[in-house]
Order: sequence, then C-alpha cells, then structure tokens
Amino acid sequence: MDPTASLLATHREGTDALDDAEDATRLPSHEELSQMQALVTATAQTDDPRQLRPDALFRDCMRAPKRAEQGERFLLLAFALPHYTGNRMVLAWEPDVSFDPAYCPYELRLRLVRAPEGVQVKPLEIDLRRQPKGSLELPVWKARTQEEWLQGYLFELEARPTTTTTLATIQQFLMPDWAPTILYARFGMLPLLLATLLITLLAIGLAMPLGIAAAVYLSEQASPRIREWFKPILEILASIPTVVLGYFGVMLIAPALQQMFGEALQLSSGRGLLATALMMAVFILPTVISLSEDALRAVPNSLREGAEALGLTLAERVRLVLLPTAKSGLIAAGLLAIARVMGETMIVWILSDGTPTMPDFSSPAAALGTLVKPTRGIPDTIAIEMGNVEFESPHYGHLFLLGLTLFVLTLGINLLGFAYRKRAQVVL
Amino acid sequence: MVAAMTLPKQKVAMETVELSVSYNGKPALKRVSLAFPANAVTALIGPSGCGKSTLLRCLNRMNDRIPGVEITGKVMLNGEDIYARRVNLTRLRREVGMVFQKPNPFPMSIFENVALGPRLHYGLRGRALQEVVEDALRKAALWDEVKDELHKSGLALSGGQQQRLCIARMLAVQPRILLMDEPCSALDPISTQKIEELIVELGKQYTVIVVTHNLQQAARISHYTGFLMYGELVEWGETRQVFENPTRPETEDYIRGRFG
Amino acid sequence: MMNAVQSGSVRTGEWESLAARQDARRARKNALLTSAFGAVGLATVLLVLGLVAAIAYHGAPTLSWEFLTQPPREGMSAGGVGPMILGSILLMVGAFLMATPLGVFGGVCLAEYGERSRLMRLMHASVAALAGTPPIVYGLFGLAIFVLKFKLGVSLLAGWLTLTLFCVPSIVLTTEAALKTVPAALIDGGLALGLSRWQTLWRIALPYALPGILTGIILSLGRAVGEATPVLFTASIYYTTAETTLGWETLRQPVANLPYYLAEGYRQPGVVPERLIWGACLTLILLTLLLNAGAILIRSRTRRRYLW
Repeated sequence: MDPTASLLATHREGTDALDDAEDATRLPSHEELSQMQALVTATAQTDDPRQLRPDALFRDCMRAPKRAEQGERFLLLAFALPHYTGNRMVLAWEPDVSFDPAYCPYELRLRLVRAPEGVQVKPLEIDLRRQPKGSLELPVWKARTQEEWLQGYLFELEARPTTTTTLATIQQFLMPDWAPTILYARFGMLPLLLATLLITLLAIGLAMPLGIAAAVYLSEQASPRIREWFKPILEILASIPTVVLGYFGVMLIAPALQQMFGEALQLSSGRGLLATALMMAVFILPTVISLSEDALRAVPNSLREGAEALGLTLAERVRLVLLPTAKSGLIAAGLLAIARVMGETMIVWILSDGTPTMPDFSSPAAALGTLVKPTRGIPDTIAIEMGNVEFESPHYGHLFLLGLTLFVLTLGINLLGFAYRKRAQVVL
Repeated sequence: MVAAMTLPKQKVAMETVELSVSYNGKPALKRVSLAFPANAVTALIGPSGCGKSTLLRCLNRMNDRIPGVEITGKVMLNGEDIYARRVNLTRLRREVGMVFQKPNPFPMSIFENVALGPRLHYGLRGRALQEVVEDALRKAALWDEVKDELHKSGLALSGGQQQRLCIARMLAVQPRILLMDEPCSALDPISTQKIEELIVELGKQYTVIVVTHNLQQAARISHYTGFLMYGELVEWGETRQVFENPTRPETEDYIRGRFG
Repeated sequence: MMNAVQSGSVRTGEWESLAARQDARRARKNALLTSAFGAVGLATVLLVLGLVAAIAYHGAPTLSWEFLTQPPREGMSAGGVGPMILGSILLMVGAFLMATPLGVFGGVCLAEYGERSRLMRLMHASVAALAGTPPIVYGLFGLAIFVLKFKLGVSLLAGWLTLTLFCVPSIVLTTEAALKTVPAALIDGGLALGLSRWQTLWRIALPYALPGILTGIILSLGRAVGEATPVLFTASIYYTTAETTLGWETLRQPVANLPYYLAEGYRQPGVVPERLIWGACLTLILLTLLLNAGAILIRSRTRRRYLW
C-alpha cells in the first residue's frame, strides 16, 4: 500500500559539508534542503499520518553519544501524500519502552521550525525528556511532488548534553539501574556498588572476628610447635585459587542454603549474596589471620609481661592491653582485607551471578531475599560483560569506568591501610 | 654452698626452698634457698647472667611463659608453695607486684594505666576507684606531677615518670611484695635518684625485692643483700655486713670490683 | 589474708572479699574466651583440611595420565585438560621470567633508598597499594594497553605482560621485606671490608635475603597461576580440542588455562561434566600446593642454615 504520510529526516552535525563552520542554528535554505535529500538518514513513511513517529531518530541520537557531545540536530519534514483525505495530521512520538529520561544525559527537544506556507500554527517546542510520549495535531499539508515535500512542516529534533558529558555520565553512574543491553542502555552503577559493599561487609564482618580470634590463639596461646604447623596450613588455604573456592561454594554451601531458604523464597539454587559472602570470608580468612597475627606480634613483650605481672588473665590481657595496642595494625589488616574482598571476582562470578538488583531492606522478608538471592557486584559485571561488548561502545566505556571505580576505591582503602600500618610501626 | 639463710629475728614475707631453674636444660639457678624479710628492701646483686633476674621472676611465676623452662623446688608465700598445682596466678600476682627494667606503661591514659588493676581485681568503680588511683599515684610520688593531666597518655611521660607510673600501677593492685627488676637501669641519674628515694620510702610499708647491677645503689637503698654467682646464692645478709665484711672471697672480689 | 596498706576508702580487711567476688567471674570469662580462641584456631585448621580433602575426594577418581595430558574431546565433554595445564604453566613461566628481575630490582631500590625522601615514601605507598589492587583491574589494564593499544590481541604475550604487572608489586614488597631482615652488622662488615654499597648489596645482602625473596616470588606466582581474572580478557581461550603446538606463533595466540577453564566450564553448565571440573580443581590445587611446598621447603632449609 502506498504510504499516505511521510516523515523525512536528515542528520546535521558539525562536520556536515553543508554547514561546516557556519552557525549551527541557522536553518538551511530551500536549495540546501533539496541537496540534503541525498543525506537523508531516516525516513518514516506510513499510510496513516497518525503515525509519523520521530522516535527512531531519537534513538539514533542516543546511540551516538560521542557525536552528541557537541549537540546533535535532526531535521524532520512532515507532510501527507496527495491521496490522504483527512484535514488533520498527527505527529506522534513514543520512545522505546526502555527509555527512561532519568538515564538520558541529553536534553531532547522537538521544535517546529517552519510551517508550510499558508498554514497557521503556534510556535512549538517540546521537551522530550519531560514528555517522552505525546502527539501533535497539525493542519494537513499535502505534497504532490518531491519539490513540495521540502515545503512541508519542518521540525528540528535536537539533542544537547545536559551539562558536561563527564558530569552527566557520573550522574547517571550513581543511578539505581544497570541495564547495558537494552535499547536505551542504563548505566547506573549503584546496585553493583551496593552489592559489592554488602558482600564485603558480610564477609569482613564474619572473617575479622574469627581471624582475630585465631590470631590471638596463634600469637598468645599456641605453643611454638603448634604455630609451626599452623602457618603452612594457613598458607595452603591462602593458596587455594578463588575459582576452586567458588566451585566449592556452589557444590557445598549453595545446596545447604537452598535447603534452608529454598522453599520460603522460591530459590532455584542456593547461589546468591549470602553464599558469596560466606565463601569470601573463607577466602579472606588466612590473610586476616596472618596480618592480625603480625599486628599482635608487633606488640612489645614488655607490655605482655607488664599486664601479666599485674595479675590480668589471658583474656583480659588480650582484650584490654594487646588488642588496643595492636589497634592500628589490626585496622590496617581489616582495610587490606576489605580491598581484597571488594576486588575478588571469581567467587562472585561463580556463586552469585544474578541480575543487578538494588538491595531492599524495607521489610524483613525483603531483607532476607536481598541477602540470599543472587545479585551482581562490580568485578563480576566487568568479567561477565567484557566478553561480549562492542569495542568503544558506551557499554565498553562504562565497564572501564566500573574498573576505574573499583581501582580508585581499593586504592584509597589500600593507602589508608598502608598509613595505618606505618602508624602501627610508629606507635610501637 | 649456702643451704638456707634466714635471719630469725625478722618476720619472713617470702621464701625460696631449693629453687632450681633451667632453660632448655641449661641451669640458670641452682638450689637457691633464701628468705625475704617483710617490710624491708632486699637487693639481689651479682654479675650479669648470674640468675638474679631469674630468681626474681620466679617469685611471681613470670618465668612460666618462657618456652623450655623447668623449675624445681618451692617458693613459699603465706605458708603455701606458689608452684603447687592449684595456685591461682591472678591472686599470686595481686599479692606480688612487679616492675621491669624498661618502663612499660600501657598505651592508654595515665588514669587508665593505674585504674586497670583495681577495677579488674576488686571491681572498683567511680569514686572508690579514683581514690585508689590517687593513693597509688601519691605513693609512687607521681601525683603532684600528673594530677592535672590524668587523661594524658602514659607514653607521653618522661622515662622516670613512666617508671613511677608503672610503680603506681603495681601499687594500685594492693600487693604486699614488690619485685623490681633493675628499675633504674634505663633511666637518667636524676630519675634514678627519685626512684631510689621512692624505693626507700616503699620499703617501710612493703616487702621490696630489687635486682640491681649497681652496687652503690644496693648499698644505698637496701636493708638486706643477696649475692648470686653462676646461679648460686653465694652470700646473704644485712647489706652493711655484706658490703663491709663479706664472709666469702667471691663476694669480696665482686664488691671490690675485681670482676663482673 | 591481710593487706599491708590502707588505700583510699576501702578498709584494710575489705580487699580480699572484694577480690574474691571478682575472681570466679574473671576465671570463668577467661576460660570461656581462651577456649573460644582455641576453637576458632582449630576450626580454621579443620576448614582447610576439609576443603582440601573434599576436593581430593571428588577429584582423585578423575586424575589420570590421560586426563593430565590429553586435550578435551567431544566438544569439551570428555578427554583431559592437557592444553589447560600447559597454558597455565606457560603463563606462569613467562610471568616468572619477566616479573622476577623487575620485582627484585624494585625491591632492592626500595630497601636501599626507601625512607629517604618523600618521593620514595610515596613510591613505597603506591607499590603497597598496587599489590592490593584487584586482579580484575590488571585484567582491564592489560586489555586496554596490551591487547588493544599495542595491538597484541588476546594472546599469550599479552597475558604474560599482564601477569607480570600483577606479580611485580608483591615481589617488590617481599624482596624489600627480606632485605630488611639482613642484620646491619653484616652490611657494616661488608662496607668495612672496603666493598662498595652495591657490591655489599649484591654479594652480601642479596644472598642472605635470597630465601625470603624466593619464597615471595613463588608465593606470588602461586597466586598468579590460580588467578583467572588477569588473563580473562588478555590471554584466555575456553574452547580447545586440539593439542597446543609450541612455536613462535604461540606468542600471538590465546592459550587455554586451568582457572579460565574452570570458570567457564562452571558457567556453561552441562557442557563439561562435573567430574572433569573436580579433576581440574584438584589439578590446579596440586599445582599451587607444589609451588607452596617449594616455598615452605626453602624456608625451613634456610632457617636451619641460619640457626646458630
């Protein structure tokens, strides 16, 4: 069927031969418009003038963020074909379902630049982020020849970065939705960051007290012989590759969790945040023990003797003298452990492997779900998605941004840990 | 050698009976029997490595923690052997306090350093605790110097003050016997003098046992002196007698500075 | 029992009764806490033994000469893990050859000039921070720089370079720590003999610290060989059914390796049978344990040598 209405568009940018070095806001003349015919990048022809939709263009705009850094403009020509009988035509726009203006770092405007001769319409300017879906009714304009197309309604669709692109990217980066593969991709890092932090918190919360307790046992209670046996055993644990730990978690911890929570929460497997955190605790335990033991051993013997001569029991000596004295060293140990857990990839990858979700602690049930269900952290997202991402696409860039975030976070924590270790050396 | 040396006219606070100590099979103390008179200062002297520190550390069982140590004989306190099976170490150390060669205040405030002991041992809180702390600091002749900065870290004090803080910390636990392991050897002369005066003062109320390698110091501060050599107790008696009129040639040689 | 001295407002006779009230509670608490510490220590040991035993139990039946040497067959669902083991070893050896000189040199520099200037202190802090930087960050760096920028592609070479970067900071730190244990008297002795600073370092300090340095290198390689993430985007290939043939072109080709095989094998369930995965787990653990045993051996031998 012959289309009865048409929307022609052309893309205009800084490098365009047409208006190189010219005022970008200047409208093309008639001649130029006809030359631009050759440059038409998108046409929407339809037999129903109610469906003149500019959203395809809108989409292109989102796909080319590099070009859009300078601002990007599309020109749209809207007209009806001669055999159309109505006296109104409708320009409607509706973005893809994945479009969320909050994740769109561009100001998107649809502007009526010129109405056809003899047609009276009010000036129009629509903010498409405020009004992502809508329609306009226009008096019909019929074009019989190609020449006349150019005399139809001329709209302009403009995309302009809201602030700077960097800032916009960062703003978007802290949004709660990570969906890199939908049409209007969303790169909100928050759920990934929170998952990583939550896993780290749980793992360290578990490993730190246990690790310090074992370190106290090693440095204060165990005989030298036991200590000699203990150290290599710890090193074995430290040397077990994380892939193996992850697999171990899948085979043993996940089924146990599945039994505990499976029915209540309708889990398909026990894999999830809790299983990950448990295995992370196992992973970090040897590090925590040996660093804490170093910190405890750095406490001078004279303090041990002083406390013992004062009649303090072992537990009191540990609690009131040794641990407070070794505090800086223990904090350093904790910080180094945090950095390592945050960046550990394989355990999360194997044991959690879910969709990015925001933690929800609004109700006990939701909190339990958050803790037990699969989720996605920063490092595993990089590992999983880097495998099938288009080179230099926004997704690719954002994965590097995730890596940078992880690097900066762990760098900060490590430097802090280093400072604490230095401080421990100064105090003692 | 000397089997048992006691001075019958003086009340005895603590007594070792045939005490021997060895580290990994190497003897450090050989069958030492010796009684420490109550409410007096006893000095233990002798060349380095003679076992005087070992002897002192046996008196509150601080040697237990050293790996490879073997101890035989008895140390009697209140008619009980402190090396008997079911001795409560906490209680022993409550009664027998100790200060060390190097001042070792805990890295906490002056007040906390002193309050730690009484709080744990006697469950003291609030006013009563403050009184005990003040009293201990006064007895250690430190109160006037620190009364306005009790919250300051104990590590911020000078060496001599730190040592007096350690003495106050010990006194706050209400011991009867004070063991001092070369308490002045890490200090400057002025601090040393202060501590010596303090020891003399404490000797009036407590049984003080001081290990020192400084003979003049022993002569200045102690009522009784024991001289050890190669892990054996060579001579024992009133300080004046030991220094002026030793019964054994080794003692005489040592005191005249011929060796050691 | 009488306490000799009146102190504060507590009357002379009262001390003992006050103490008696605390003693039992303190003893109980002490017993509770000390046994808790011991229990945690014991639990840690049991955890390690349990882990190793479970993996050995599940993996041992798979382990055979064929499994260790043959390539996978029938679309990865049968056969062995020969190319993966070879790839892991290739990656490790290359990283060892490149990271050792760099790391030891860096460690020597830090130990020599360590605390002298603000710049060196900053260097020290950065090396420490780099040693704690997550392997995935190294992976990304390797991807951006070696694979894409230098156009090495996903290849053994890119993997070597990335692993080298990953290993160097920790080798620097252990070398520095080992050099710091050299007694000052030994150094002074060397200098007194008229040796130059560098000669002393080279002839006296380094040999003394060598066991510590070697241990550090081995442990760092052990970590590298088990770590999948640095080579994930830079050197790894999952699907292999052919035996790896070694040659110059191998440098530019991706290699299969055990950690990546495990990661992918697990993530694509149903392809690789469980028993093969357990077998590969055990193989990988044996590989790292072998390295560890080497480190422990070196340490215990030198401890004996220097025990005078």
